[in-house]
Amino acid sequence: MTRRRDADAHAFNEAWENGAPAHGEVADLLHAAEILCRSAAAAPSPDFRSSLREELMAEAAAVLVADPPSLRAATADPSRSRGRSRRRAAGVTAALVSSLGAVSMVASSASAIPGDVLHPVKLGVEQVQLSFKDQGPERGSFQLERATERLAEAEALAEDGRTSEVASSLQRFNELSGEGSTTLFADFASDGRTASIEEVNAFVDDATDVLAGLEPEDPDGAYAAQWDEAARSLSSLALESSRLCAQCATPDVDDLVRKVATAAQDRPLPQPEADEVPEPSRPAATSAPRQSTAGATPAPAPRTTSPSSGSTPRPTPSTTSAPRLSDLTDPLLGPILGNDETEGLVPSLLGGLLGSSRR
Amino acid sequence: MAALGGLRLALWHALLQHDELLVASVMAPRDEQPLPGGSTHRPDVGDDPDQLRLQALVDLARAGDAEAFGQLYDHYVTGIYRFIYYRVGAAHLAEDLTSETFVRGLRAIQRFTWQGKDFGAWLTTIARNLVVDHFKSSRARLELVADDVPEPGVREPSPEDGVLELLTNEILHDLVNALPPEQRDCILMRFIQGLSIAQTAAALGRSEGAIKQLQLRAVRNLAKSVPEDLR
Repeated sequence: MTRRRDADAHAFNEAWENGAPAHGEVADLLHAAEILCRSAAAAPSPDFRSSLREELMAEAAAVLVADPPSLRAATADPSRSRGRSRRRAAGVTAALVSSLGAVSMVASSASAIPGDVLHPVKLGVEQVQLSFKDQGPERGSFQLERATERLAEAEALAEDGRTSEVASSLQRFNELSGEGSTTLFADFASDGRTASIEEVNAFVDDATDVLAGLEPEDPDGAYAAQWDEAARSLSSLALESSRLCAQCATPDVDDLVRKVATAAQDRPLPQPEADEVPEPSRPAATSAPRQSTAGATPAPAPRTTSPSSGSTPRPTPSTTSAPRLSDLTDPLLGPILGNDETEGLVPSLLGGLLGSSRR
Repeated sequence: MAALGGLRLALWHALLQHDELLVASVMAPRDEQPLPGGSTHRPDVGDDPDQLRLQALVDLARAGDAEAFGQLYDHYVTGIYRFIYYRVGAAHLAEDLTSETFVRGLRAIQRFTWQGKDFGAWLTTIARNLVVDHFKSSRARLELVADDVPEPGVREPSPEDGVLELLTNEILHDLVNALPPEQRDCILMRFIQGLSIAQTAAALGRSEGAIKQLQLRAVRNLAKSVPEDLR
């Protein structure tokens, strides 16, 4: 019986495949199979065919790797390598499942701003990265990167209207930019690496642009003090750069100073009588740099660099009696920015460039 | 933040890996089936130049040659589409499942090992598994719209069809799908897709002798159902 079935099956297949002569039932079956075969003419449409091909070729470029390890393993010893590769795949899967969450959390924390759940993760990652940096230019650069990041966060917060939170981001920006640039200046002083100075200049250049954009977002002066501080420290960084390395900094310093000065100048002054009555609604810290301005010279430091600003030589006005930055920088900045006695290097340069009529 | 950029890259890579592992798991049952002959080498195709060319293309694609995969696609796409189409009965669904078959094939080809299997049979197994999954996931829906099967249409016989009257796609779909599952798949692979006995045996995980018997039973059943005037 079984042999009979085998024989029929074989006879039919022989007739179908090789055209062996068929009789009786086999001939009928052959006819039915032929109908079936010829009827089945469905085919993918040319459009579908070519678009799928394109899709696959694009994916093939990404998916196929040259001479994959699996190829070598497969030819080596399939019976043993299979078990091993299964175990390895299981291990990789387990590791992936556990690490995928952490990796994606760290990756998505990059764009977090203060108040986001992931912002502390971002700060933690920065801290870990910092711990891998040696003292030296690399660390300085990284601190400037972090400062830039804080400034970007401040910008994002300001755009969201969260002006009260901008102050602490700016505060941190000031601290980090001070740390970073001090490290880089020290590196230049010891090694004479002009790249360090150029890095500070690039930082100041970028940060000045962002800072200038931040200023109009603060009509209520919620972060005015920190903004002033930032503008002041950026100008002094630019000047310090030019002092340390005249040849590498000079091409940029005028422009930088002008940008900060312009932004500061656009800032509406609190009120004409600010020197007599501090505005009650303004936070105490905010009033410091503004109310300090004596008499007819109410402008904060950066404004003094403006070619059109008259006789305001004090770059860092402050009411506090503690050791002031201005005490240290005045002797240096006076000749550069100008004071009561002399016009100063920068204003004269800018005056020439901008066609100011100041004499 | 170069380091964070690196982490993003790692994540992207991890996701890619992850996907490949999924594909590998889809392939796993097939890998474990004992194959007739149990050979770990490529099927013996003798001197058949077409088959030798296809084997060379598979080796090239496994070594990372995208164009070789493109040529394999050109060779197999119609057969795979046909297999799926006469199983599911709707062109758009057949297109979707054909795409998915080749995408999976592409992602897994570098882990393809011959083990006596033919590449066309391997692709067909992927297609068959996808169709099974499709029916599993849409069983409830199909019960509601049970008659939402193939597109109607009478085929005009072309000159080379000679005197044979032809079945419409709709009737063909109904006839084939009325068969028991193994016979149905055997008919689809042998007479509609055009696989050889050896390829069908590899795709269904049976011996060649078993396929010959299966094929005979299937054609017998089918012949009974072919409309009287066509016989």
